[in-house]
This record gives sequence, structure tokens and C-alpha cells, in this order.
Amino acid sequence: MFGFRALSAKTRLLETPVLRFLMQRVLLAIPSLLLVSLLVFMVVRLIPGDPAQILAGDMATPQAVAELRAQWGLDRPLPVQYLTYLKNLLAGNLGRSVATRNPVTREIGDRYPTTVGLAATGILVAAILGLGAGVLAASKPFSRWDYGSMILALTGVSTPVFWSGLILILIFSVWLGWLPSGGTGSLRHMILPAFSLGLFDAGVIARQSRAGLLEVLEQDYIRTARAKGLAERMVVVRHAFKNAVIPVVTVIGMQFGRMLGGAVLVESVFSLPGIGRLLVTAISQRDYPVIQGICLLLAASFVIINLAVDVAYGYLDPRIRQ
Amino acid sequence: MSRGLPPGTLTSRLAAGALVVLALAGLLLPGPAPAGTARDTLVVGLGTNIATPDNHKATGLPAIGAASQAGDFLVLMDANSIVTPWLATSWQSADGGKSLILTLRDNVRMHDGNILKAEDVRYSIERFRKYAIGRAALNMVTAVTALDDRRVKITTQAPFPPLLRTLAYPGLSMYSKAAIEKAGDDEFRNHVAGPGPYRVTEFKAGDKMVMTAFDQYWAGRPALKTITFRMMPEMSARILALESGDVDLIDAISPQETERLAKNSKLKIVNPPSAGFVRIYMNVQKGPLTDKRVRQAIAYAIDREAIVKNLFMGQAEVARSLAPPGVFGYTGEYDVYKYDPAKAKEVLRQAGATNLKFTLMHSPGRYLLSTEVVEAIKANLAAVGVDMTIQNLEWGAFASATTTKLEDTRMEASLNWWRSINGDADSAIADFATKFLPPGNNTSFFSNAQYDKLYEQEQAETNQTRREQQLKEMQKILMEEMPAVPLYRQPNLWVASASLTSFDISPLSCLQPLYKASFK
Repeated sequence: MFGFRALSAKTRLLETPVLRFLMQRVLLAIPSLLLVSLLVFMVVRLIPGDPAQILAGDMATPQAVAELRAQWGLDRPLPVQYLTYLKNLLAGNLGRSVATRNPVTREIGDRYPTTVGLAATGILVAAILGLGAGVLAASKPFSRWDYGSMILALTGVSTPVFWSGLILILIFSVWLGWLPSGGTGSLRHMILPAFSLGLFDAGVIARQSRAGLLEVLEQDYIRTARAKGLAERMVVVRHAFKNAVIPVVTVIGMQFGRMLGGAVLVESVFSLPGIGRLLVTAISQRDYPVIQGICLLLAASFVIINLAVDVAYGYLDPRIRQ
Repeated sequence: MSRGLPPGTLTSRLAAGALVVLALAGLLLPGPAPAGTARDTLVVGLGTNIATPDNHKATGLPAIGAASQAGDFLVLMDANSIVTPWLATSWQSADGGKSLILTLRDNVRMHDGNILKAEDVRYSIERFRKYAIGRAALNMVTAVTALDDRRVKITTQAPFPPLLRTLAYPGLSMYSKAAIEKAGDDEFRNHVAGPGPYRVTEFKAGDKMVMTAFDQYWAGRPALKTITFRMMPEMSARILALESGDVDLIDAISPQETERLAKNSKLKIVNPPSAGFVRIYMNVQKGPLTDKRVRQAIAYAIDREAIVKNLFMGQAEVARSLAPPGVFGYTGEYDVYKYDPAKAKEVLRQAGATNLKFTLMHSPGRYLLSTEVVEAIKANLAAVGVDMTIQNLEWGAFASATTTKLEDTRMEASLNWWRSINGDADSAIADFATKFLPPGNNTSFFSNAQYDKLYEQEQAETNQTRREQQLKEMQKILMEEMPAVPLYRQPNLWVASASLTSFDISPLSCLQPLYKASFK
């Protein structure tokens, strides 16, 4: 009886629109990821360069290069190589790096947490600075606060992360000596990289949230709220902000995904062991298994982030939950 | 009427507050002590990634130098190619010069507690020959035998005089066979055990390798307790980290930076001789550069002195041969190509190449200032009526394009780097032998019977005087036939904290054993 009830409850749960939606999205992700695996597999082999030639070393004989190619299975037909890769992939085996001979899962696993941590702190900085500047600008449109915030936002968007990173190191590490110039070890090490990465996106978020908030503040229900005699800050915080932030959530989600794959400059400037740097090294060495593994991971991350954004929509907008 | 909040509303206050909290949280969190304060700790910032602490599987010379601190050297070699006994205290030739018998230092303790024996050395050499990126250096070795606990015999196909110097290659680390077998070949990277002055105590891929002094090091307890090698690919970041005191020693610095850094009394510039030099390879069998007069004209047209003086601020050195100065067999006496645009024009006219056009393949960012160098060369050649197109290729594509077989190649010329790995001219110019035609590294497609004969003779010659002469003859042929223009010897620029002493850097940009390094 209890089992029947549990089963019914489970069935009912699966029938809820939100879960059905989530299940659909997860199922749709499978062909997407398969397509990504095929595209990446083909593209890395289309670009000129032979990993065996690159890694065989100085003065390697043609025979030694051929032996390496055979050892890594690169001498087999491409369809056979892809099917073998796919078969291993389904078993959770991403292969071994041709450069280090370490399992790709270990190579990526060692570095992905750093990149996720960097992207997470970067997006936190971006969200705090961007939303703060956006709200400040929208609260006093066309005032010096507005112009000041937007100039800062424009500066953030226009500043290459590479340059801002070096300037931050110069100020906070060399001149003031407050923070480490790079590397890992504590949360202190993440502050400068997070600000460097977040400044660009803060500018985007600031402009987006300003525009959104200004639009919402013109709506009838805001006029009604004001007519009821609510304090202005309550009108903005309680009524306007939540609706204005919906498009900003999309931006934050997309920016977070972009940060995962695009943090390579920040990782280089701050000497952080992330997957961006690993990917660049792998590409220069034509380390096919590592390139494929990282691209697949980034694609999967994007799918998950998009899913999270959709769920956040539901939380922010009751109409979407229906 | 204003449609907004006054500054200082709840949301803006929250945002501002959160920012302050975030900043303060970071500032107040305990961080590591700055590197410079603990004077028994050395932090080195390397531009190269250390892929693994297992030196037999390592790539990138500075990274190999870092990993070599755990596995020690059989012999050491200085910038003048002088070999010093190290783990091997003596050696003798046998079997008519085809074998070298090394006698090992007695009672050398390794990190796993075992004593280094001949079998460990044999096993290490064989493992190097199986995996190492530089394994081709020992291509001619046919057998490695442990004669007893302290003697190892290395046999080659034919007498190979540079063998002893080749054993000083920094990637040829000695390890404990028992430790490798216990950990397994792949997992050994996490349990590296050799007789070197420092033990690997932490390795974080892409981030750092921490090494701790090995108290029982055969040459005495190392002066420093800890060495941390940080992987810092960005030069500006390395410099800033050095200036902030986060690191004590950095490598791969541009000459333009040294002028400013030299004014900082807390720092010192180190520029030991380099074994690496840069050449323009020219396809001698296909394309517009098959006439040697044309290639010679190109050599006359390039102002190498100006490149060294203006781009490298005098920190590089004009290459007078295709082998670097200081190596055994070097000669610069056949370099007659003093910058002479008038002569270049005249030689081109004689060769009927008055409207010469060719393409130079180049991989930007691979070698120091190479983009500026190829632009300078383009301008030099334009001045004598030669139109050189620069084709920039990513490194993987470049390596593939320059080692494509003759029938398929499109390479007319390329700018590339080469080196002597063993302090001998042989390893610097061997790549011009016919046996190394692409897909090997003879990317000029140079094939010369007289050269090949001399190459085979010098490889087997045991009389050092005769061999030196043969190597010089080979360089003479190369400077006459000009399959590649020798441009300049690269700088080997490191910057250190002024108080750091007793450290040496090899011509291959590798740190020598750091057991004496300390802070004043």
C-alpha cells in the first residue's frame, strides 16, 4: 500500500509541468552533446598538425613518429576512431592525454574546480557591481549618478581583462602589497582574478539592469503602488526590481557560461591552473583527447547553466511556472 | 519629477555593503607568508608548464630543469661544455670506443631510502629512452648493462664521442627502480623518488610544484628548506610577481624589460650563455630559393647586428655559424656574410633573381621577439628588392607544415629555433644530414653527399682533434651552401632577487642542482 502511494506520488511529481520541462531539456541535451562530440572530434583532426610529430621530440625518426601514431590509434580510419571514442565515452572513459599519458578525467578534474571557482566569484563580483551600478543609475536617471555609473560600466565593458588584471596586480600586489599577485592557496588569491574577470561583465549587467529597471518603473502597476502611498524604495525593491531582473538573469547565465570557457586570459595573467590554460596547451600540442574532453565538458556546463536559468525564471516569474 | 530612488536606498546600500564585505573578507583571510620573508624558501616563477614531476615524461626545458632537482644527474656540464663528475665519478671507454663504462658514487641515498645502484641507473636510462621527449638524443645506444652494483656500461652502434656530454642532458634523471615498480609507471609521478637534493612534496597541475630539501643528499644538506616552482605563463605577471616579492626568480624575460628591472637594486639580471639559436631555414630543393647564390644574397641582406642591437638590446649574440659558440667543434670563421645590401643586390642580379618573391613561415609568440625579427628581415630584404611574405601559423600547424615531405611541402622558408643539447656541434648541425629529411627536422631539405660523409665520420671518430676538424668542415659546407641563415643566439634571461646566490643556469635554460642556493 505504502509502495503504491509512493509510486503514485512519484508519478504525480513527474507529471508536474516543471519536472516534465526539466526532463525534456535533459533528453534534448543528449543529442546536443553527441553532436558536439562529433563536431569537436572532426574539427580537431581537420586542423593541420600531428600530435605524434609534435610530441615525438627533437630528431625523431619517421619510424618513431609512426609508432606513436599506431600506439595512440591515430592510424585507424576516422569513423573507427570516433566509434571507439564514443564507446569509451559512454563508459565514462575520456581516454588519456597524448602529452602526459594521464587520464583525461584526471587532467580536467584537477583544473575544473579552479575555473568554476573563478567563474563563480567573477560572476558574483559582476552581479554585485553591475546590479548596484544599474539600480543606482536607474534610480536617478540622467543625473550625475546615472552618468557616473554608466561611464564606469562603459569602462568595464571596454577594458580588456588582460589589462585590468595587470593593473590590479600592480596596484594591490606591487604597490600596496595587500594581495598575492597570482597562484592558488586561499580565498585571497581569488580576489584579484575575480574582479578582473567580473569588471567586464559588471558593465554589461549594469547597462542591462538600468534599462530593465527604467522600463519597469514606467509600468502602470508601479504607478498604482506609488498611488497607494508606498515609500519609493519599497516600490523599487519590492515591486520593480524583481521584474526588472528577469532579463538580467539570462545575461548572468550566459556570462557565467562564457566565463567558464573564456577565462583563459585571467588564468594566464594570474597563473591559475584552470581548464582554459589546459585547453590552449592541448590545442598547441594537438592533444585530441584533452581537447575533446574539455569541449564536451564546456558544452555540458552550458546545458546545465541554461537549465538553471530556466528554473530561476520560474522562481522569479510565477507565470512561467504555469 | 524624478522617477527613481535617491542614492542610499536599500538596494544600493545592500550592493555597496556586499562589496565591502567581499573585499574585507578577502583582505582579512589569512594568506601565506610572502615568499621573500622566509629566507629558507625559494619561489621560482617559470614561463613553462610543468606537465609532470616525472622527468622522463616532462616537456619544456625549464620544466625539465625543475623536475631534475629530484632525480639527479650522472654528470654535469657547464657553459663551456666541460663535464664534471656527479653521480658518476669516473668513466672509461671500452670495446674500441663503442662502450662507455661509468663508475657510480658510493653510498648515494635516494628519497625512498634505497642506495643508488647500477641497476637503478640502467633502468632510468632505459625508461628515458622509452618515454622522454629528448629520447632521440640516445638513439645510437644499443644496450645499457649493469656490470655490478657500481658500474654501468652503455654501448652504442658505433663509437659516439659526444655520449658522455649527452648524459648531462637535464631530462636524463636517475630514479629508484624500486619506487617506480612499487608505484607503477603512470603513478610514479605522484611518488617520484631519486637521489636529487629536493623531494617532490606537492604537485598541482598547471599551478605549482613544491619540493622539500632532502637531508641525506650525497653532496650535503641543501641550504634551502623548500623550493616552489610556480607555473606562470604570462611574462608580465612573472615580472610583477617578482617585483611584489611573491617570487624570487623568474625566467624567459624580454630584453626590453631588463633595462627597467636592472635599475631595481633588489633585483639582478642573469643572462648565461644559451645553447639555443634562431635560423631561417630555406628549401634548397623546391621553390625560389634553390640557387645557393640567392640564399647567400639573403644572408648578405639581413642586418643581424642591428637585430641584436636594436631588438635584443645587445642581450643576444650574432650567430656566426649554425652551431652555437662554446660547443665542441664550433667555428665562426666561415661567416663572411657581413651586412652588405649592395653585395646582396649584385649576387641576386648574377643569379637572375631580380624580382625574387618568397614566403616565410613563422609561428608568432613561439620564440622571443620573433614577430619583430621577421618584420625587420622583411624590411631588410625589401631594401634589396626581395619581396618576402610572412605567413603566420599556429605552432602545431607550423610544425606540421615545415616537416611535410618534399613532394607535398609548400614551405619555401621558415624561421625556427634549434639548439645543441650536449655541448657538441654535432647535435646542433646534425639535422642537415640527409637521414633527417622531412618528416625529420632537416627542414631545408638539404642533401649533400660530402656533408653526409663527414657527419658519419665525426660520429664515429674517437680522435678528438680529427673530429673537431670534421665538425668544422661541416660548418664550412653549411656556410657555403647556406641551407639556413644563422641569425642570433637567443638570450637566456632570468631575473632574481639580489639576495639569491649560488645557483647556476645551464645553456639549455635549466636550473642546475640547487643544493647550494641560498639567500644572503
